[in-house]
Amino acid sequence: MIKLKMKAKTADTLWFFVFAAPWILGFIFLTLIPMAISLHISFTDWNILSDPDWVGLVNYKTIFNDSLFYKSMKVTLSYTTLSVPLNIVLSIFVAMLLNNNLRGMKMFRTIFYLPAIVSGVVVAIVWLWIYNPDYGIINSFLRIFGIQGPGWVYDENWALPSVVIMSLWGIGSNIVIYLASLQSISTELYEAASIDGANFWNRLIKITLPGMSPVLLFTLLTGIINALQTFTQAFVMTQGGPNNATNFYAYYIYNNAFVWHKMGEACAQAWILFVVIFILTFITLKLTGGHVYYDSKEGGDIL
Amino acid sequence: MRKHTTRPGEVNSTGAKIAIYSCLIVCSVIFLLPFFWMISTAFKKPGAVFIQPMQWIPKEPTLENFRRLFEEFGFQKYILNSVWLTAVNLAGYLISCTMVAYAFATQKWKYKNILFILVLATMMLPKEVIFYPRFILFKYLGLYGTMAPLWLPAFFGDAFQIFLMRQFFLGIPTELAEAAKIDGCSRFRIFWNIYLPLSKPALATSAIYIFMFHWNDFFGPLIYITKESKRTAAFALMYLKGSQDVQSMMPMQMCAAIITVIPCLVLYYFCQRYFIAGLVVKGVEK
Repeated sequence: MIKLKMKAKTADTLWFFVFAAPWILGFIFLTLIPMAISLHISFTDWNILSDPDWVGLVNYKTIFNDSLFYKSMKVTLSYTTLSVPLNIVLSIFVAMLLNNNLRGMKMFRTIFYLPAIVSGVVVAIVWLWIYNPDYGIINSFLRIFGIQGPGWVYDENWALPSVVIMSLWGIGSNIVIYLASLQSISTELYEAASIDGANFWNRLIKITLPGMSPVLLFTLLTGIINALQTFTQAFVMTQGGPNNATNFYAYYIYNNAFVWHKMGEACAQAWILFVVIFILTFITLKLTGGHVYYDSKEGGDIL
Repeated sequence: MRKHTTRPGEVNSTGAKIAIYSCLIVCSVIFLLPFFWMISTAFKKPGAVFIQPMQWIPKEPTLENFRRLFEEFGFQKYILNSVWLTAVNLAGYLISCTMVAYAFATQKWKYKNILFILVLATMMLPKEVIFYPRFILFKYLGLYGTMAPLWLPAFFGDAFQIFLMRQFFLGIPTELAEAAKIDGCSRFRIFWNIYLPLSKPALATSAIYIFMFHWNDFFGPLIYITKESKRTAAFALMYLKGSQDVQSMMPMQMCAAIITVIPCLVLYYFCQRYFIAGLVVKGVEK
């Protein structure tokens, strides 16, 4: 009897591994081993064609003495600190506008979501033309009022803000997430608040934002992680220029790896990014730790 | 759940309504302008592109740009590559993710929950840390320059899709599987004939995610595709940029852009529910 039970248990375990095999194999061969390789490569000098030479910490030393590394870090971090909060605030604003029982809200939701389904390359190419200093629609529009617009992505001072503005075109997915979250906040809370005579700001700060806090935290984290990996805009629109004003970190890694064939340095940089992301995630979680309320489990009724 | 009647800043005054609508209309016009510009440019004759003030509706609309895109640049073969690649990825991810999710949701192993935390942890890894080493791996395997690196990983699952699918499978009552087991159904038949047919909404949500990602993917093709004939639509779009004759290239670029966006639009139109379901699961349930 015990033997039979044992056998059944082994069979259970066996079947678990049969079904889970794709992920387990993928984890070992496509994640774990490549990570180990990359850690190893980061300590070598390797141009992809010849054999890697072990050089110890040289790559890391080079990176920390490289002014372009600090420049690209600064560009990426400024972009993140500008675009992520702006994106969240604007999304909340639009989501709150949409969260009224008025006609046509579904249509507006669709309009705001549309840019989010467009491929990053298409967005970059279209905006490159929109930003064209001579023929782009923004400067043509400004010219009507006799204003000579800036050079946007072609101007060293305006390039990064331009990429930030462009990123706001894609706030649609956040709007949809926030709208769902707004609709899952219990109406009783608002009713109680209005009996107590709470005004708009009181309700926003005491009910709406706390109710949205788990979702806000999630979008904040994914926003930061994605912003730190910004690549397509730099590659398609500016090639990191002008004068490295948009030399995003991920773009710099790409150049090191595939343009300058310094794979060792690229891997070391990728690991530095990993550490940066880890630290920023940790800080965000620590800072927001006491302010997130997990009480609403429902996904709203927009479905 | 109750339908909401009172909301923050409940609108009952006409003034508030006007304010809300005007805000929304101004915002949506700004959001739609790039699309209008894209469409109007795609139908312009090369000479009309840079005329100032801009013509929002081309005076002499033409389909010439679309013709050139297909006849001179052979854009159809890039579309075909994209279709093929997206289809293989769809098949791969759907098979692998549902299997793995089934294992985590229904099969028994003492440490499976610990392993599942590992699955979730891989979601947090930045793609750079995985991407460059994977490139090295594929290069060692002699697969650099082939399409394999772009579809092979699909058959090994994706953490987020596994997570999504597992959530759904956990909601399916276990009695169904137990009854089938008594009837002599194998575990595989239970998976195939009970779990999968019941999970159509989750499968649709996943499929849309996978489709959107691979149809629009740029970084993967940029790194692995070396031959012109293997380029995908989103990737080939880049190459329409690098020509000298800007006036005639720009409308063609916009044609190509429109063509790559259309499948996503059609999909969105028919599957709005699942798009939003995917986002909501992502945002709210985590």
